[in-house]
Amino acid sequence: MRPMTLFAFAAAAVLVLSGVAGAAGDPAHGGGHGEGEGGLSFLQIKRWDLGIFTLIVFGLLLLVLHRFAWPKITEGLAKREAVILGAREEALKARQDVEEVRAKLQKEYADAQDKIRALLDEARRDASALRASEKEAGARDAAAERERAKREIEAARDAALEDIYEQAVDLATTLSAKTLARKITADDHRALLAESLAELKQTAKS
Amino acid sequence: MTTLFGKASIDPFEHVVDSDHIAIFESIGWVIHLPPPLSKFIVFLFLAAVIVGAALIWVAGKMRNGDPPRGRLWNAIESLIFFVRDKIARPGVGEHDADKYLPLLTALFLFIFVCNLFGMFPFLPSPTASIYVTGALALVAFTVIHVGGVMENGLGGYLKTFIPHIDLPSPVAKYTLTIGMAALEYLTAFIRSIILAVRLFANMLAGHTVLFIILFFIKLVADPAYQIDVAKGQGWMYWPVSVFSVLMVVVLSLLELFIAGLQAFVFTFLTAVFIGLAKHPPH
Repeated sequence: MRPMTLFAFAAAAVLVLSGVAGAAGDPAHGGGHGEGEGGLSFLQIKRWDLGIFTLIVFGLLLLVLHRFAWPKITEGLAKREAVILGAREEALKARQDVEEVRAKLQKEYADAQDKIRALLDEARRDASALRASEKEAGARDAAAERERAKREIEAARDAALEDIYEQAVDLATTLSAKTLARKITADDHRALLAESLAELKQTAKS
Repeated sequence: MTTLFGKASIDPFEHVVDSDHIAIFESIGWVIHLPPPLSKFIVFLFLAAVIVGAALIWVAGKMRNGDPPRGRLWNAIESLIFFVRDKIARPGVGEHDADKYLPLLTALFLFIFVCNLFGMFPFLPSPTASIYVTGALALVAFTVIHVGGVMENGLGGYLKTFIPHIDLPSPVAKYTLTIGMAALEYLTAFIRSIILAVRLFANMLAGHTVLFIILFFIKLVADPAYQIDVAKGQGWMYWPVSVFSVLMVVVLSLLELFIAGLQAFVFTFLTAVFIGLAKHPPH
């Protein structure tokens, strides 16, 4: 069945139903309350012009608003939307810039950290090298000093021994002279001394 | 006029429905009579339109430069506009078409809201307590809903969206059910708008009538013209009944204040949903 045909049937049914409902509510048909005193008087059937006046007032209100209010409201809302969108764009751009700056700063910070770490490593290495060289120089100086001291001690010891030998020879010579009751000449003395020293040195070495 | 408890005639709807005068302390005779064809609802409908129009035009001038909102009033009005956009138009109509219907839905919401709020001020009426006011607004909604549906789908296509797809082996049963269901669907298109009108009207009328009745308890125990038999010679009843009535009215007024916003929201939101359904019918 075509839609228009169906609509015609349905419309006819609506009209019939409306007619029945209207007859049921129409006082003239004896089916409802009166419209005058009591009953449904609060409906004020007589003031049907109120509906027309409402339509006129509301229609005029719509026209006035259509002419004087909505264009401005629409314009204002569009501008506000543009401002909000612009502000949003700017905020997003600013945030992006901040992100970029932050990333750059982070990179610089990381580079600086690397540099600091490298400097510290280098300083540590230099310090180690310096400590090692200082230690080596100190050891070298100490060895030289020890050698020098050793030599001085040996020289002092040799001198002391020689002095002791001389005094021992003098004493022995004096004792021998007294024993032999005769004077030993200077040449004898020197020959005895040399001989004694040689023996003494030989004895010390052995 | 009705007779309550067999006493002097009173009409509980008198202060809620439309009239040709605005009564301020009737007992001392402060009554503003309106020349025909004006009525108090007409005056306050006009005032509501002026308030909504002035507020939106004022805030439009402020918003024009795209500056952010400053000040309580500007913030309040803008938040209402955005409330309609974010909580009514977009969820109801859909993201794609919401902005196109935003002016209508905003005007509808604010207009109904202000009309509802009038009733919260002493001596002022709420024009939405009239079925003709809400009916006219529902007619606007009905027109917008179905014109939108036709423009989106074409007349034939839109009418076709009301026809359900029923698969039955018997052609007679199939066409009978299809015609019946389609008739109901077409009827629903009207009923939806009628319900919009009735719901708003009934809520406003009933709310203000209840407030009146509860306050009228004081007269029922204290005013000889309306005094009920139980209260005769019981002067002490005046104070407890008065305190109870006033406290109840305060509490119910707070509820009514909430309902004023809620009903404006419901009317506008359902309109938005119906627009969305008409433009993009479920398959």
